Amino acid sequence: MSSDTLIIGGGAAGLSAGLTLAQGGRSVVIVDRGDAPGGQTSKWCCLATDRCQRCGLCLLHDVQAGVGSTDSIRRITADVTGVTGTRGAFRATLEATASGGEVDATLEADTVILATGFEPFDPRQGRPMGYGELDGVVTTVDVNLALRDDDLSLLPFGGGETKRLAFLQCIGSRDPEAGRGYCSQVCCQGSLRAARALLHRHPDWEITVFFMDLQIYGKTARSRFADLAPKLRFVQGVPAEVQLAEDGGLRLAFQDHLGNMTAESFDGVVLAVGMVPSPGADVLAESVGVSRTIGGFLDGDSAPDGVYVAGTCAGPNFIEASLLSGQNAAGLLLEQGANPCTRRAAVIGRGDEGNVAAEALAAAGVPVTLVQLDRAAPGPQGTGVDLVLADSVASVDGQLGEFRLQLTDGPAKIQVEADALILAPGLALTADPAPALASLPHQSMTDFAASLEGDAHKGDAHKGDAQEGDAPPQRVALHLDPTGPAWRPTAAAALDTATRAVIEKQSEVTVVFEHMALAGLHGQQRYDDARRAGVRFLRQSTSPTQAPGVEAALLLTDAAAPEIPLRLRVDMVAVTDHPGADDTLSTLAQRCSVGLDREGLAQRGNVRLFPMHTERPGIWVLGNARQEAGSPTVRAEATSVAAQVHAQLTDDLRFSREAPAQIDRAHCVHCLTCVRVCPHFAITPRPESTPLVSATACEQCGACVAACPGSAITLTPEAIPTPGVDDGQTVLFACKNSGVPALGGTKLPKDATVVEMACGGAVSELDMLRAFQAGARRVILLSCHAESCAHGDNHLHCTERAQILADTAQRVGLPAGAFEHWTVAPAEGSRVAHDLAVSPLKGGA
Amino acid sequence: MSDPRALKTSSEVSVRLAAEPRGNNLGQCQDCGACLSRCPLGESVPEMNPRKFLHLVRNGFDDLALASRFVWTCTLCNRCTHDCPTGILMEEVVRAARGVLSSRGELPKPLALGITSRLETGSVSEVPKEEYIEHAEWMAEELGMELDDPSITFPMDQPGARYLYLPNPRELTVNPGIFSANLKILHLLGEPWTLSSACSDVTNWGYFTGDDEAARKILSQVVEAGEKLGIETLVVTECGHGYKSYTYDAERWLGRPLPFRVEVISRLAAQGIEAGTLKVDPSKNPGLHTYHDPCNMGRKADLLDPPRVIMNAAVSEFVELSPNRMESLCCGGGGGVDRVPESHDVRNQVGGLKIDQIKRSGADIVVTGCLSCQSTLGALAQHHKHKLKILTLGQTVANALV
Repeated sequence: MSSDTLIIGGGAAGLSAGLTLAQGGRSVVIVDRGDAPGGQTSKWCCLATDRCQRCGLCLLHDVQAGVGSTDSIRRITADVTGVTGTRGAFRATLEATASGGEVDATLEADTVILATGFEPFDPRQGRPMGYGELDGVVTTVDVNLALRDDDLSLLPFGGGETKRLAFLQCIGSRDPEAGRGYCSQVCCQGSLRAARALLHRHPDWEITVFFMDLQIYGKTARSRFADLAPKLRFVQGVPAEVQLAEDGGLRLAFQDHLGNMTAESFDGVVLAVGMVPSPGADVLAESVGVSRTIGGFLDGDSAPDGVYVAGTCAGPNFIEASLLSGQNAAGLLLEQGANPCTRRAAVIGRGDEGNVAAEALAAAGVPVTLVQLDRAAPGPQGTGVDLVLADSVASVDGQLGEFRLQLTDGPAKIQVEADALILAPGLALTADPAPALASLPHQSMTDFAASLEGDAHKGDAHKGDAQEGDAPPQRVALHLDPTGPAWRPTAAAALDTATRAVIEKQSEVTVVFEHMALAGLHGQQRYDDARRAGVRFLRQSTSPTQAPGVEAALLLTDAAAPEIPLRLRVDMVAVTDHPGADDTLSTLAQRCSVGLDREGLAQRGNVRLFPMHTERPGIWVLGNARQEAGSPTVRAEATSVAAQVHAQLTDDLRFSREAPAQIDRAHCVHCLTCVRVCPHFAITPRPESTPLVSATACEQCGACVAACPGSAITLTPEAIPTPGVDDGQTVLFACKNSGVPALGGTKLPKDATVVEMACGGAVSELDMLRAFQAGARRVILLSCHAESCAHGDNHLHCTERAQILADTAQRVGLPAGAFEHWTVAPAEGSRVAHDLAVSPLKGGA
Repeated sequence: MSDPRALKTSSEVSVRLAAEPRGNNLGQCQDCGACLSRCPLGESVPEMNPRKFLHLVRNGFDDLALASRFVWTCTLCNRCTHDCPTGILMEEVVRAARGVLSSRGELPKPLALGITSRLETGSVSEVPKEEYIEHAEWMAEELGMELDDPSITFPMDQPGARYLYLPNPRELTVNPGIFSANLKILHLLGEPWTLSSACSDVTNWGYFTGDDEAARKILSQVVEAGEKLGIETLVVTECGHGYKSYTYDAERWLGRPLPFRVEVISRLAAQGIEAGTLKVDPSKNPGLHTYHDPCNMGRKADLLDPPRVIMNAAVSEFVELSPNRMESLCCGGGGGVDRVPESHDVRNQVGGLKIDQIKRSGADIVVTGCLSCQSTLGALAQHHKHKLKILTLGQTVANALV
């Protein structure tokens, strides 16, 4: 048996690589040792409360569904024990697993993707954390399982009364001496999500999070946790043992915020276990010539020609990052012998990221025009990129397949046409000192780094800033994130710069910080290297101020001994760069009708826009304009987006079809409601005529159908099939992206009828009333959580309309609860089943 | 709050620390908080903890570090840092601090006196050479009567013997039973062995005080005696810091490898039991026993399995303490703290954790592998009014020998 690509591992990375390859026309075989698709994440749970917490699990569900409906992907349950050969002729040896039945002994493939994933650290190894010994000690995995099954009684402390819980971070992580010198990346946010989910069920529980450095990074993460933080107690320093307390609870000893030792008793301790490579990955990697790096994870850079490494086997990461990593591997693979693409993409860039995006598109075989807004940026490398220099983008019109850009370049006006549009303008960063330090000599971290190069001093001359490009100052305080959020790429650059200043210029560098950002597998090593080089680190427990007197110095306290005020003599304060107001970006986003997230970055926070989609079909956004990304991530995003753009632009069906939504001229009153509600900007008004539905841009969600007051719009396929209803039945209108998969794994009440909808926003008042008219006793609308709707703001329309439906139901005399609206995620089947069982119709039978 | 302190890059303590095996690696601390959570001093000395102590030394605040009660209440137990993610070891940091005090002549009086006695008389307890010889002869007679073999003598200054046995002064003063038990084991092991009239004291308080020069001089007394006799192995008694320092520190103090191997009597006993050379009957040790891992023996010198061999073979009922082995709680008397009267209140408080742990095990007989632990546990049991019988491993084996 032979295929184009063998993917080893059927978790997030393997499945997303497989789906991307299949969309690119390749045949794929995915071999996984487990029965449950999704790898480790099959044990996970959607952590939404009444709103999405962006855990990414629904994205994985979408990928699984895509893989399941693709004929060109074959899945085998087996152990791969070794892979030999070279590009074009790889041969894998397979062994049956205990539950997998018989398998072929060998498989042949042209290329191989290793996506062997991770497993959670076993907390019985190492420190005496009491796991498996003390009642009440559980892991984050256990909490996830209990939440997945919607049964907190699975946890030893799950009973109802007020509970005191402790989350202990970094269990198994950040331990160089034990061979695990890496941050597992996901545990801080995973713990906060779990804490929120627990508090959502039990608002009276008291939760303390013991941490080393909170890692709150990524799309909308900072704003998402801002409202949760005041409900939790945070303690820096993670207890390394759990003992039995005198009162029978779990005793943890720690240093309080005044600097004194204290001990408290908790009802439950949740160990935030890190990630370790899957067992056997080492042997497999060695057989195919991939070497290992920190913590035993696989070193993708060492992979021989034709072998790709994707997902968490290359280092701990989130579901989103694993999915992206799989797409990146697939994208790289698809560059070889790509199908010809005649449609053109335009990249709007402002510096390096635009070049990277344009180069990736060219490599994927997509003709590309790069609109470069930064004249100082070096041109793109390689061929296949038309370069247009411009000052600004005046307007963006049209739809997928027919975008028109008006550019200005000085007095000149330039028009560019493209079928797809990729926004890669990067992000303008600023570096302002803390107000209390503003009158000390200061410069941006970027300028400080440049001064190490011996470059002439760049940037504005700040007050009291004496350096003029020659020797860098001797005593430097490097102040991380004084006025803005920690931005991971600049945090990493700050560590590298501090290390270089100490080693190359013998400077005395003190990093003043609150949380150390540890980006990626190498983040901890970067921090270790800096400490080893002699960079001093002070973990501020209060913000530094300027010391009185003539001498330039900071006053601050360190978290290790907050009662001792410190004085740090400096010649200069260097300040890390962080996102500031970026008018160019916001204007560009506005011109493209692309929304911003709560933090002002391009692409809304809606998880279903992952990875780089926008609500407007045919427009993508990548790089730091979307979320923080170091240059390797930007490259991976570019490769991934290039594969998606290529697949979109070569999807001839989409370009040749009729518009899926048709507006009946006889019934249309030109009220433009459809134009207003279409979440994808696919409907545009026309003078003296019905609005125009774009055939390429319509995503078939049915929002227009539900909203049209004249019932003038029909959709193919139907947004909601008319349900066949018997008397007394419960009708569940279920969104195909959430409600349907949630109900799929659920034992439904006998009287239930499920009606699959394109989108929760597609249900209208009439649909509901017809269900009651047909004899339904109650109607429940199951739609996606806020910020996880695949159709932009449709969940808002859905919620608005649901309120109207409920009011209508009441007005027409239906019993209370006859109509309900529940938000749900694909992995929340247990909760839905539970709710269906315990929430009988109020006032009804 | 006090006046702000200027951060420094070097200090007297950190210079001393640089000479310790791991060097001055305090800059490696990443504030993980593990050490402070495992320090048993938390309740007794809440204002100080291992991480804060490192912070003070790292930033050059010697005055605060040295004035802290922590310096002479820390038992050098290393429970805090034995698996420090960045390789810092508390014992070295506290020894560096004590070394500075030592060089300033600011040691607690009993420790200073003990070191002087040891250097001048060869014994911290000033046991005269003649008394030692008589004591050994008396022990030989006792064993002769017990085994009904009047020919038994204990060799003294025997050149070419395989083993040289080195006791703790307690065996020559308050605990003759331990001396007798260990010599009985040596006798029955059947290998040629000897005592040396030139050295009767395994202790090296230079280890406690961070005074490496005193440590070197004390060590040299024993090394010279062993070299002169041409022994193969120095067999030390169950003295925690003694065995640990002979195993891990002696070469550094001496400036050259030791001219003999070093072994502890309890490991030889365990090996003898496993080999069948020593025959034991567990019913001779009736009752529920538990085992206390001494920090120096277990956590620091890896003597973890041999005590279990003995406990499983030589007592009728054995239950483990929890936590144990690498995570064992210190008795509170390590690091020379049992010789610092000012620290006794803290020691009793810290030892309360140990007593609680023993109570939870249900055992009323505690076996331990260190004379210092034995004596501390005895004092603790009295202080906390908890009736306990406390034996060394040697005594436990000797009781059970058939």
